[in-house]
Amino acid sequence: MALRGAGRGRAAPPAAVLLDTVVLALALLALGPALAPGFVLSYDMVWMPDLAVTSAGWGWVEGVPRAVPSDQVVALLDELVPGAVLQRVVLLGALVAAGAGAHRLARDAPLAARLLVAGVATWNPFVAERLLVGHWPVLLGYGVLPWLLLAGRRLRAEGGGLPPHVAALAAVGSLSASAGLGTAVALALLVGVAGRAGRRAWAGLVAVVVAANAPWVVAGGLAGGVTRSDPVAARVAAEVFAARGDDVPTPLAVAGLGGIWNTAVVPQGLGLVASVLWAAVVLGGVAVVLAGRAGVPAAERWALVGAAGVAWAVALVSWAAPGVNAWLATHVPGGGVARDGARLLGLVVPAAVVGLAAAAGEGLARVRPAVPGRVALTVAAALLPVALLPGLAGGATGDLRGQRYPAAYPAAAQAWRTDAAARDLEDGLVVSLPFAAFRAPAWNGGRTVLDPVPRVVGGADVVTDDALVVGGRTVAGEDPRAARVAAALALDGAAHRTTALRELGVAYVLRARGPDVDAAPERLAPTLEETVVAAGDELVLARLDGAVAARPDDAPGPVATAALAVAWTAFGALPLLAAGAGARAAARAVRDRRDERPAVRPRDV
Amino acid sequence: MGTGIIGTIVSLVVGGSVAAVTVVGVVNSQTAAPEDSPVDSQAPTSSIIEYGDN
Repeated sequence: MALRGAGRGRAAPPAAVLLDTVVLALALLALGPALAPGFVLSYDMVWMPDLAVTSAGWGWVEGVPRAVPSDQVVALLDELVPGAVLQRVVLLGALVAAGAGAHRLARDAPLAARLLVAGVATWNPFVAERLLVGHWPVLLGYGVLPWLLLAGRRLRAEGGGLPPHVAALAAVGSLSASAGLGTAVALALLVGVAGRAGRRAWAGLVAVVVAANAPWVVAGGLAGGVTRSDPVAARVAAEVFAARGDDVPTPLAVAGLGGIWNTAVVPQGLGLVASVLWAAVVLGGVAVVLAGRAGVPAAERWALVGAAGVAWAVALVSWAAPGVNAWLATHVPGGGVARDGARLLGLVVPAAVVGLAAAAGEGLARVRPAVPGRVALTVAAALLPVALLPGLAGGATGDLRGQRYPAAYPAAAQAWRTDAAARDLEDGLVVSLPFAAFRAPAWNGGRTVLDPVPRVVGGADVVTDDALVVGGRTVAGEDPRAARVAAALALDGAAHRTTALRELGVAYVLRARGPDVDAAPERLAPTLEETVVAAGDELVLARLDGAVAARPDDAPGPVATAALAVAWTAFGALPLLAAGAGARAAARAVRDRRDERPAVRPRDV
Repeated sequence: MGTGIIGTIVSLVVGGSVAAVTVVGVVNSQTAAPEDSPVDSQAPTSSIIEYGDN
């Protein structure tokens, strides 16, 4: 007999409000001090008060376009909303969207079961690890997953073309290359397969996937940097970014939605016992679906199992056979984006949620507790994810915390604008020193973060080292300019180094100061012939002495400009199409209500 | 009837246990010393900052 719990009936509004409130409370408990004034700066997550709109943001880069389209979308949106507010909307929104969508996948299940799945979707090892490592586009992609499955159910019920809001969900879920790939898998399986899409809907899905991923695909193609040419570097990258367990077997960590490559961001308390329990919860939910006992049609069942299978397979292959990922990165354009093996594990959650809701509903029906027992189980369901991973509370025990930039950062940016304009050096390159990708500034509580200088000095073309050091092993960078700057910095003698940098078109250097960088090896921040322009406690701007060589014109040509324009137009059209369809639907609903006729929703994108 | 009574008792035990574990876990995680050696953010480091650790 099929279990109850995954139907499409309407929830009573008070239940939905209660569930959404619990989800919001969990998200607030998880973020905690991350909501304090300032910015959350953690590993890859670097936000600014006002990120500049740049040609690199559009995708005109020499390396791999990892921040396309996310940086430019933020740069455009923070013209309307302050960056600090926008960051909190993104982080809170991703978590709330995941939980609120999850309980809507189980509208017919008992309240306790819906609370359980809402909590599991909001609060789990995947969410914790991606928050800490700063992969906010991946979290946004994770947040739209249940809503994609809901769209698939609507498509299955109503037929016809693609529900219009899928276009907006696809755009939100595709703000980075890896997020876009995960969302593309979800669109195909959770909407297309689960929704039993017809030809029209599949055509719409293909168009949406292409448009949502167009900015980074085109940017990567123009840069020629999406295929790693160095097999040795690809092998190192595949090994260091493979899924792994932190003191637990990797398959166990991956089964329980953990397994990130960076053991420094595994939340406190996620040891053997917690990993076993998380694996039991997740595997149990997926097993219910696989066994056909979740009360969902076969198409949805196989779509859910397929999504979970893809995610687990990618993670386990990255661990068991890193050579596969190295080969992909070397030979397949864009293959390198799959090197972070655990990044797609969010795709497991829809299956786990649907299965858990059904199993919990069935269990409650068998136990039939009286009112006090039902209340106790409801409380337990809401708290279970927190009990299994208490280390996520309070911004992962304080590791996620709002911090203000020191005054030296905006002061250096302003000094560069003034000095460069006065000396006609605005086209000159700026090099961030020490020449290393990451910092752990005291003003950020010593927490590791990607060098924020390129984003702080908006408008400047800042070169940083894009080589990554993980566990003592170096993953070579992809930006040829960075390699040339590193070679110049390695020369003997300040005069030789300065001359070589000037010949590369470098006009300024920005030297970070602080305990994290003061003791950096001399080769990363060597002396140069320079004149200090602005000196703050944490950042110093200096201009290289002597004439700077004119840089070759590296502006995009007409073909590249047209390609990027088409890609961004397609991407930008997605939310606009959804908004237009939504406005038309709202207007039609109002008209129908006025005429006392049933509302008819629009169909195609 | 019997099932309902037993179910209620089991539910109360489960609910109470999860609530207790949650409270203890959250309090411990917020007050315990970090698992790794504490880092003095004012102390100079002797090497470059790594992206992460394996």
